[in-house]
Amino acid sequence: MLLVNHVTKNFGKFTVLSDLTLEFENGVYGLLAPNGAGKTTLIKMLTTLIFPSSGEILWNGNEIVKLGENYRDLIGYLPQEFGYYKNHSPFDFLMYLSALKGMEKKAASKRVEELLELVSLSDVRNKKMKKFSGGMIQRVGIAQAMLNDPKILILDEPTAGLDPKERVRFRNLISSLSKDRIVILSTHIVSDIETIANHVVLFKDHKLYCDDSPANVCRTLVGKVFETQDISSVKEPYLLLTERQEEGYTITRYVCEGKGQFDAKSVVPNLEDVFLYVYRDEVLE
Amino acid sequence: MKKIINSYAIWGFLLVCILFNVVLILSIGIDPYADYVKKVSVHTGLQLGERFNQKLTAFVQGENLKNDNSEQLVSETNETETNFLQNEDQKQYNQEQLASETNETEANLSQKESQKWRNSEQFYQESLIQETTEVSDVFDGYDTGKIADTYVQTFRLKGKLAENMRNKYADLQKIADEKGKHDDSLSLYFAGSTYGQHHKLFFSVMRSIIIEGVLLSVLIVLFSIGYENSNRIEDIVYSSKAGRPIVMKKLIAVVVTGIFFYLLLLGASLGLYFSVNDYSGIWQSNVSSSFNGIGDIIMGFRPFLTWHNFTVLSYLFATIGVSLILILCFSLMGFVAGICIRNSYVGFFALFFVNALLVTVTAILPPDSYFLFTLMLSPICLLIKQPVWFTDGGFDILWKNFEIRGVGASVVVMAIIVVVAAIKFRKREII
Amino acid sequence: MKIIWNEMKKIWNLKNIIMIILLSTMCYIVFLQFHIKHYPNGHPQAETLALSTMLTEKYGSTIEPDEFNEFLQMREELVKAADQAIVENSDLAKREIKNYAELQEYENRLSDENATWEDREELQKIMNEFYNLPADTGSGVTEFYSDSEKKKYGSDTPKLAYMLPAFDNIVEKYENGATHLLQSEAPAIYHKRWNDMINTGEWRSPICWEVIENTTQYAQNLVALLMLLSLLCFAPLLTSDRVRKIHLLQYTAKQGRKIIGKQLLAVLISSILLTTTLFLVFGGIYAQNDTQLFWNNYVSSFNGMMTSIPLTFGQYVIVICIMMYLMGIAVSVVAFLLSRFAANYIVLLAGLIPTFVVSVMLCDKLFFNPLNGFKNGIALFDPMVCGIILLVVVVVGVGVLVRERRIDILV
Repeated sequence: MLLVNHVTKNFGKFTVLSDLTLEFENGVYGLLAPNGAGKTTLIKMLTTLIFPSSGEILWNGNEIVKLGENYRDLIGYLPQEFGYYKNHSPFDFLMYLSALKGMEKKAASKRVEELLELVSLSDVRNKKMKKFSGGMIQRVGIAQAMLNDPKILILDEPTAGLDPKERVRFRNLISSLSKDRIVILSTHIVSDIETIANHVVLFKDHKLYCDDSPANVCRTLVGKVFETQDISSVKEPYLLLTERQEEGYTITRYVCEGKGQFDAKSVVPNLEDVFLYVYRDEVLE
Repeated sequence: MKKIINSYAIWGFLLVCILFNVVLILSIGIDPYADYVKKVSVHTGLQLGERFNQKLTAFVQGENLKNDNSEQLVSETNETETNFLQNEDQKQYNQEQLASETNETEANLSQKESQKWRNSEQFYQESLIQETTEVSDVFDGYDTGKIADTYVQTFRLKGKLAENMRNKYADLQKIADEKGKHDDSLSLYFAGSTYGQHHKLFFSVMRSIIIEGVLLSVLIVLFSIGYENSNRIEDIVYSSKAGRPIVMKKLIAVVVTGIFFYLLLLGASLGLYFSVNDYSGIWQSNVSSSFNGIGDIIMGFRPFLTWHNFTVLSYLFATIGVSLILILCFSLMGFVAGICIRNSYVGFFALFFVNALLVTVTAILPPDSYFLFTLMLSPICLLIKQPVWFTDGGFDILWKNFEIRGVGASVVVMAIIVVVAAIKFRKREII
Repeated sequence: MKIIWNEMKKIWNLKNIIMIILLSTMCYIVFLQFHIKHYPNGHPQAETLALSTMLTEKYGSTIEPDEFNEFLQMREELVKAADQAIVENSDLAKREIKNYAELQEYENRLSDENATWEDREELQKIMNEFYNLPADTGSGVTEFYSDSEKKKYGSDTPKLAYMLPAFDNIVEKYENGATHLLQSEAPAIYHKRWNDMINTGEWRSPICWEVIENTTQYAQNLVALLMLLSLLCFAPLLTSDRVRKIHLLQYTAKQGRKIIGKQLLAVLISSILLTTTLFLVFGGIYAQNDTQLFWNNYVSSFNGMMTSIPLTFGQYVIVICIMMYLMGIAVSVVAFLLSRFAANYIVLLAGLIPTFVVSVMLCDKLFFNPLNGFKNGIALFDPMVCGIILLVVVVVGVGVLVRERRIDILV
């Protein structure tokens, strides 16, 4: 178990995260929050790139910085801006990283081949990465995160830049991997979390807002989310969520604390509704 | 321009350059004799000759009257003065006597006492008198043809090369004759310290400033041109309304900014230099003074003969002027490197490499090669030749006013290359 | 080890190797070749070297008094030949110069400080007559020159007119017992060293100043090349990782932040490799000068200089090599540190250029006649300064490594 225990992180006078306590066990955890909320800060603390101002992060009861390489041996990390050597092929690059991960050359070679197969890059294993598309680069990133078969897989915006097909492939891959490891996924793409995450972690005002299953999180808005074709007729205060076009009509989705209009349809809230509601700026009257 | 002015790296580099120049100027030190000459020049003027000698004697006399310990010297000087006024030959004899007495005096002193004597005002007085009375017009009967013949023979120049070399020195002969007519070489400058002072300013300090200016301008260009690439915003910038033509606007910005930083560097460095080495009173001295000279391994030491009539001040301004154009040339080279090579680091070293190669080629080429003489007009070779700008330039220069021809030709060539590079850039794919 | 090897592969890539070869070639052509092509550099250096070589080959690493007497006899033979040639020269006879001794006297008179311009012109005419004596005037002049020297100077060598003054120079210095190496006002430490040099007989070494000067100047230029290549090859290592944000992957891998220590090790090993390669290549080229002949001669010599400790020429060269290693490693560590803190290539360049200038200026001073006397009163001043520089730089480097373990990696 990975435990974030009353962790606070300050940068000078500015507090990014305040008294955060989280427990991670096997499964997929989706970190959902707007930009600047502290997702990347938390991830960097989990990957020992930065250190908590107070509190501790424990792996099976042991502080991760003190564990040193024993802890880092367990993690696989895909940063938000994934860097690579342009003139290396994916095979060369993964072999370079395997050395950093302390893998034996023979075992590393085998593992690299397996991973390239898994991310469908076997055909281009010896091609220079400067010729790759964004999606292919991202797949190399995912492969390198998996090199050491990590117990904790930390992915920061992993599906950014992927097309729908690749995104689906990615989700399937993560789902299959999550059975016997902790997967921490930081993303703005709500649908990714909805489909694969067991837990949703929301931050607000630099603190933990909630840590629960997607269903439970959505349940907080049950009976409050409506859809109507005529938003102007809504008299009670509401928060506009989304609009969509359907059969020539504009269907407006909104949250309303009250009973809603008689011609409005109550709908099942989704994670995006919760995200927009939790991080709302104002209520439209 | 704002991007450059907000860059810590550029300002940091500028400060390091200024600091280096501070250390250089302070380590060069002050020449107290030069200081003395400058003080005297206020009273005597700068043109050597009879009037100068009279004024110098009067000044020395006046100085010595103020000094209680120099009564004996005063009477000797009075006597000497009387002889000056009466008979020039006698005056000459007395000067030689004084000089030999000085030498004798010195010979009788221990090393420490000798050093003390050399630092004394009395020694300066006597040295100045000796130097200014013994000096002759170096351009009277000066034969530049000998220089041409020596170079032609030494380097076995033939045909057009030999002809050009001789023509250059034939033209220089006219200049020398003109200078001889007007006694241009009978200019005080810093008397016996002239070579050292001229060397300090134009060989050490100005050379250092110009090299730093070149490096600074290249860094500025590469920083600006490579900015989009290093910040990964190329796609956004080049697909905007401004588009790829923005690089030409950048060119103007970097040239202006490069010159701005160079002038800052120049101002700070020369400001310090002239606050430490006071040139007031000396500015109107002719740089072709008999006390000044240049040398090479073939001809040895010879007069500092410039194509135009330069005072110290106008020579300084002329050097600054040519250096500005030279920096423009290097900025254009940096621009081409930045456009063609997106990585600033690689671009810098490509530029360095090309210039190093040019220098290497000049070292390999035989001395009778026309290509060698052409290469000597390249910006890097002009930079190396900076201390002899506006003179004949020596054995590896074939044309008069080589520095102006060189920077002019370089600007034209570089402008063409810039235009070609910019046109190619418009068609290059931004991947 | 694998990680260090991977980092070294990043340094020793094809582009860098080509750059090293090209820059080394250019530097050799512009700076280093001079010390091979023009060694010895004209007259009378050629003659001084020729005699020094002959004395070493004939008498070994010292010239004892009886051996010196043989040398004097050689000189006498040449003087006889000179006397003969002078008598037969009409222009010299016109001036009533009948022999070499009178010519020397005449030369002294016309070149003292009271001489007029006319005197100096006259002297030049006379000396021209002497220098234009037929090439092989005097038996045995030819045998003093090596074949390569004869080839180098062609018909200009051998010349009695150059050889005799070289003989005289050596004779004067030997007979003076190397007193010219000690100034009366020098501190006590100089006197003690001089006395030791005299007592042990070191001073009788026949090595000449030209050998030492050429070697140290060659080393000066070589070390400047080493500074340039060290900075160019090693500086981009960390900057390129940081620019591409690969350091995030490196620091979060099992290896973690220890990688920076391994990268530093890779730089140190590469620096030693680079320096050794430069030694092998350029040292091999310099061997054409046959200075290894003087390997066992003491550098402290009546005909050379006075080193602060007794060293043979071979030991002296080894000390210079050690100094080059020290400076090469120090500059490599500086390049590494610059690389760590440069966020982009322009910042890196802005740091590299002044570093290069300062390091070359420093090396210029340190490698200018190292160990000649007691600089600042310290015996091994130059190697010590190299060592201190390396120590300071390594301490800073270690400090950076320790700091790296604790700091937040934000970008």
